[in-house]
Amino acid sequence: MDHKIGVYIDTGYGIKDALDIDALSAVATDEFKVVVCRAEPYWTDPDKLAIIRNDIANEGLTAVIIAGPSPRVFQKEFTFDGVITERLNLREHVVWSHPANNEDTQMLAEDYMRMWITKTSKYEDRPPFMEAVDKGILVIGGGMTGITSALEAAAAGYQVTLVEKEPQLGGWANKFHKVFTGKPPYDEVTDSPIQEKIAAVNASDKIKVYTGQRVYSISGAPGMFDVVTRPDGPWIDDLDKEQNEWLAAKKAKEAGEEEEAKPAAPAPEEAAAEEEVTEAIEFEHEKVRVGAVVLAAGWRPEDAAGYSHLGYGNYPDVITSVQMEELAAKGQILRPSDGKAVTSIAFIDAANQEAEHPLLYCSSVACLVTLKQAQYLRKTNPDGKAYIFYENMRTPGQYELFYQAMQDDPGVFLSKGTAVGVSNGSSGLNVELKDTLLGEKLKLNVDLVVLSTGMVPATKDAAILNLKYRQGPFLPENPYGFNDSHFICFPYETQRTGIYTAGCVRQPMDFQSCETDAVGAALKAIQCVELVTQGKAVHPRAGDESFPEIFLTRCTQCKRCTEECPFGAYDEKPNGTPLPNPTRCRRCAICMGSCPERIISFRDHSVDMIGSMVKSINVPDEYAEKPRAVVFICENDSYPAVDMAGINRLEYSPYVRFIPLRCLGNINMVWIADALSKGIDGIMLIGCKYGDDYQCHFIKGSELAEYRMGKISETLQRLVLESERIAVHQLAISEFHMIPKLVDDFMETLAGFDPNPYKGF
Amino acid sequence: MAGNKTVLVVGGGISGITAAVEAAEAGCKVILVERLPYLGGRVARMNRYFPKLCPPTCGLEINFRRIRRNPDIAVYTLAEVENINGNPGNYTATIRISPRYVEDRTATSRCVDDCPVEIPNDFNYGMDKVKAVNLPYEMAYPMNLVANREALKKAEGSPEYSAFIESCSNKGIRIDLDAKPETFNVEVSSVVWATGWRPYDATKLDKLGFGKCANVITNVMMERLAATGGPTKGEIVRPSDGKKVNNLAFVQCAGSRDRNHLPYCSSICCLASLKQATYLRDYNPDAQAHIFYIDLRAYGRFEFFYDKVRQDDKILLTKGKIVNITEDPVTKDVILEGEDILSGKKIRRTFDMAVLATGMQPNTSVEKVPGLSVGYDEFGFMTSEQGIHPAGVSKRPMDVGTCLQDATGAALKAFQDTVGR
Amino acid sequence: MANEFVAEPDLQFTKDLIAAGAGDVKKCYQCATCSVACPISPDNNPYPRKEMIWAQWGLKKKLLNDPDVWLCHQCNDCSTQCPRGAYPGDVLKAIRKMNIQENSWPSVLGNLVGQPSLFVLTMGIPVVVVLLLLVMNNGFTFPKPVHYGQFIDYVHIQVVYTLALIFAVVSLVLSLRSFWGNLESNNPLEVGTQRKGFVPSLIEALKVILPHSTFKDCEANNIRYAAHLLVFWGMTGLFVTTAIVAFNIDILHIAPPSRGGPGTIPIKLLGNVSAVAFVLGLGIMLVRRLTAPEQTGNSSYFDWLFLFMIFGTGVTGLLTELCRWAGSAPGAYVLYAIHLMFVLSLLLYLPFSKFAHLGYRTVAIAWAKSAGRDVTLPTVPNYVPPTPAQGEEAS
Repeated sequence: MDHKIGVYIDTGYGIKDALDIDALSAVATDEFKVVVCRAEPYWTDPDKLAIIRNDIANEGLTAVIIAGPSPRVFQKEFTFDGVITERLNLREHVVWSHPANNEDTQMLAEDYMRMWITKTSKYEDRPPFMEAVDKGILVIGGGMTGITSALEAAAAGYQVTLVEKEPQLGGWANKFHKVFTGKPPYDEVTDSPIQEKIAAVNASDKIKVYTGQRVYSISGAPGMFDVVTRPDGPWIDDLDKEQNEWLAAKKAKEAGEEEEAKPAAPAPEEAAAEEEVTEAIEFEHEKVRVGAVVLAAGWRPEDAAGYSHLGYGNYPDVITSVQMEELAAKGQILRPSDGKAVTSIAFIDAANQEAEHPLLYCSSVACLVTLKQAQYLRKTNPDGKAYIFYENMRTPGQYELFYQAMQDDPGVFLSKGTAVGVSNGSSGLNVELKDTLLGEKLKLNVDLVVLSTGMVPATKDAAILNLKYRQGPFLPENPYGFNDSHFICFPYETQRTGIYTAGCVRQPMDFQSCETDAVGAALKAIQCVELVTQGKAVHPRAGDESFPEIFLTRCTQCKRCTEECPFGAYDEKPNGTPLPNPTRCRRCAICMGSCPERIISFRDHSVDMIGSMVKSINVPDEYAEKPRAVVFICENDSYPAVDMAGINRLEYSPYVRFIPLRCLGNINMVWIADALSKGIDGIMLIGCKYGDDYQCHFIKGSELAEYRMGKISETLQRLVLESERIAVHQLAISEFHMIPKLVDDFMETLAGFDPNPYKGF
Repeated sequence: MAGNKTVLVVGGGISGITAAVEAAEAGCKVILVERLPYLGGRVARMNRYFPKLCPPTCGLEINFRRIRRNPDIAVYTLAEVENINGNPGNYTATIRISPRYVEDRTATSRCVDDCPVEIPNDFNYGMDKVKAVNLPYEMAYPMNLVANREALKKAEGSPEYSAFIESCSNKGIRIDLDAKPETFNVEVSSVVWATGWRPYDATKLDKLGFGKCANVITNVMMERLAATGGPTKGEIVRPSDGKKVNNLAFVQCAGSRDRNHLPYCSSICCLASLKQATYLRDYNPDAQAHIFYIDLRAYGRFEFFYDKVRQDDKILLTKGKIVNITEDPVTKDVILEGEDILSGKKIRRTFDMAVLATGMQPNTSVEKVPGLSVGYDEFGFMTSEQGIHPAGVSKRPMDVGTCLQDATGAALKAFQDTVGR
Repeated sequence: MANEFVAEPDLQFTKDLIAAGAGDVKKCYQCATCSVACPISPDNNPYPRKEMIWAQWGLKKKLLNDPDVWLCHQCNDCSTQCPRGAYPGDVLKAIRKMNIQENSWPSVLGNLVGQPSLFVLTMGIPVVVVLLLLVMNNGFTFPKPVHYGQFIDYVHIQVVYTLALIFAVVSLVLSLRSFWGNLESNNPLEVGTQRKGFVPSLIEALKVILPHSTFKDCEANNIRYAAHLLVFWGMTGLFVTTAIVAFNIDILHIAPPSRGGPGTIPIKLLGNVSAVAFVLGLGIMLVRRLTAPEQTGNSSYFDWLFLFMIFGTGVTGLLTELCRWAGSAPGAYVLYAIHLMFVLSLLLYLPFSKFAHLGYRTVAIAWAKSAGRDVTLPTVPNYVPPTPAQGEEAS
């Protein structure tokens, strides 16, 4: 659409002294014929802002460009309702990082003027997506975490559906003998508070409870999830099997593709699209529509087979910590083998022989549980002896006080120690340990051996969510197998929008942490339904009202968008074309970059928009000896880094033009072609670090960019251009000092080549 | 903007910021109050987070953007809550805002390079100096200068000073040392208390040589030493002579798990030291780091990180607390004494530098919630469950990720107060 | 510590230890602050960290054969620095008490002296003996000028006290032999096999004991060094004095100083100076115990009993002397009698009371010397691990 654009050049901050303002204004007025173009110092001053508001009113401006300081400042000042506001960064990116009154600096500023006016003129007017309306919240799992989430969400006034597979609520909190108080003086254990909570759930008119039920399927999207629950039964095993086979196939396929070093993988089988949901269901079930999901499915005990070296399986008196809870719950502790009253127990914090990270599953809670269970014995048997062997006694925070309390008990014997074997002794079991504080090798005779086995997230290789998503039924898990957020700063991030995890599906944790976690997850669910019902995106682009629109008639069913979307936002129509779910979308625009047909666009961000910005760059002919390079940068980390470079007055080549993207994953091959055919000598991409510890806020954007650039090299060969003309770099936000080096080294490389032969075509 | 449905968040560290933006994005109006002239608190002064070794500024930047684009969040820096009264759902808070003593249109430290007065740099724990007019750090939010009145007052009248004032006004920077603090009341429905923590005062650990030995520093100082924005621009060199650190000792439980200091475990020091060991190894591949501990507490998913770090055979771990640290008067090397518990031999070893893994002490142990009676445990951690919602380290020692889970939860508690139960 | 070890914790022993003054032993979490805080603990297998966990685990056998508890001079540097408040100093003291009782012969007396409930009986024995002597010496006349020989016949005293002394010495020697035997056979510290003989080791030991040179290194409670030195030499002085007098009377048959025999002046000088030093030192100890418990450690019955006997001996001895000078015959005679009671208790219980430490500590130090315990490990610059990623942290 045609925009009436006003350009406001800020002459403060030393911009006036560095640039020829009239020449710069001329670009706007003469080349682009903008409605108004004014140059004044410090547009943030109220009276100056008034001028802009007047122009908007009198000239009917639809778009405003502020050419001055970085958009990272004055966001609130430069907000004009109903008017598009673009920020052209003359300060950090031009005058603070390049010599004043210099031809090249001036050219840089003028190019940015062209690019930003072009960009602004490409804005489209599209209303936000308003179809999602449901604000109900589904909580999966009726244990401590799930119940807490349900209660907290209800307390905030939201309808909650609580699904629990067992016939009654409570989960492990029901089975456990005692739990920690988490309150001063921190040295006691109490009965679990679960019963009061269950009572509160039953009392609440906002919580609908389905016990003995499992989630059969979840389809739809945030604000419009369709959930089918079904009574627990053998069907779940079939579903487990089916899904695990699917997963195995997927992994195998990916492994196969590893050789070709290609990250994104199409699902081996076309996972279900919405048709299945509409198909009739001929079994007993319930149907609910919710806006968001809290996944609190909890944990199952780690398979103790990895402890066979310690006699688990051979001797009935070698048990796990979970079995110990059950023994203790019965009152006096009796030996499983012969029912004799237990007088001595060895608690062993042992390594799971079959795990890559042997202590991973238990390392948060093992020591605490052990200390707690030692108390079970001592309380029931005054002469009882509890031997505790640990690798590292881990009782963080105020839990240290519980450790102290247990130390004081003369019947509790503690030592570092690694168990090496358990064998049948005269009157019980002989335990052998090494590296103890009592000597290198230690032997001990006890009635009972308790292994502190860990917690495995219930979601591991199990059908819990059963998403009807194109990318499969699971919530993608972490490298270490939990449904935990990958982001330290954003602990509730998941790759399935509107589905938040809490409790032990996320990390092994004690009840107290579970409760804390449950509250946070509830808030995120509430936040999600509130935002999507206003047509807004959730984190990290919270509030963004744009969403992808696909010009389907030109779609070639290549499926790249459906496969590359990190959040599984796209399902698939029977004809193979993508089926967008706007409220699943996080607006990263990776799909935009993935589409070879360039038919995916946002109202304020499109292939055409960026392409046109590239084309609007004024490229001097090959004799001018003024090379040009375009640098695509991620707006989350690289853009601020470039700002920092400016703030620190770091200088770098004036021949480069920065173009910020929502995520480097936006990068579309066609822009490279545009740039090269325009005569741009080189293209560089700077994005977030990727790999296991990726920092990309959209999971694999920068990785995808790298991958796409890898594929473009043969295109370059065809154009008889050196492949080094395209470079991709990873940069952390704190590494701003690297920017001049990156840029100048790249220009150095380009200097080694002839100018791009396509200049002036 | 105050009134009902408003949440007051006290403390602009990562916990407070998170509580604020999460509550606001759920539909609350939020007032965020920070005592320092910038947001970010302790994490702004960290180099990297464990276990990802990613820079805190990355997450802060996103959160600052969330604040900038959200009209429902009002941020007050250099502000302190003087008094709170009322009850859940209905509080009145008195906020006092100290002046910055300088008015600018987002200038940066480079704009005031010509300032003739210098002061110790608190942001770098006093390891270097800054201009008396400065931007607290590169990515500071809000991006505004702040002036140190006391320091400038001394220079007033001198020709350099006048010249400086002159050049400032040319850049649109106005220094006003007579600015007065302002105090006002806000009506809020709920309060989130996230005033965070302070490192335990290492000078109280008299046997560990901090303040006596030039090359004994604390773990928070180590963060600055490794940071590009730090006093050495990221060079890990020792204070006494600027020599590149080749062998570094980490002294765990420096004050924590000690009835004479902090009886509780600070939870994060072990992981912080493992992390800082990787700083050294990245900076100087020949260097060796040696961690002396009682128990290595890498809980939960951090077990992963621990496994990774100890693969490095130039990062050594020894069970045994360090008891004495002295200094070689000539070389300024530090001499550590302890017992290697597993071999049962006393240790006496010299290192280029030693880092004390000092623990976290809640600020609420020193500065309580004003005006209201709120529950605390014997160490000063908050136990309140009603109306005033503690978040992060005000509750117990936590790593950043856990703090943010907790802060998000606090946001819901506050949200509930605003809707009224 | 390569050999395999079967742990059979003795819960009762731990409880006994706690009763004997090791009340906080369970608080220890093995950080090893104590071992390093101790200025006199050896570098290899330092105490008291290992003793702490042995005590927590009730490892009676290891503890009762542990010479290290006797190397400790109770200066409490460990207790003041302990982050958990486990008071290792008090724990070692309690172990020493158990140690004396364990090795004492006849053990009946060991238990008698150890039991607070049996205090009356304990002190009753010497009282009765002395009263009997008085009765035998036709009662309670106070002839002037004061002449103790007329009060109680020297011969009686010599018979009784020599017997007591012989018994004490024999018993102590037997106890110490079993102690030394245990050290040799059990070798709880698994130290090397090549040893120096007993005698040379003993001489080495005495070299540090007589001047109290290791005692000097204590920080927290260093005034005790001076006090103990005074008591030690005062005691020795008095013993010598007594010996000389007895020798003069019995062997040379010449008048004792009290009746102006030859050499009166030097003998009296030695006696009185020793007595003053003796009492002064004890006074310091007593005051310290009452005023600065955090440095002296908590005082148990075992400590008080010994202090009572030895302090009583000193004070009554001195008062007797004063009364005689003052010319108060009754006073002198009565105090003299009481003095005799104290001296007898001291002699009798030498092997069973805390007094026995003079023997045990000497033997332990001698053993430590013979086993070469006191090696000092060098300060290591730029430590390099023997093999990459030493096993110590493999978990």
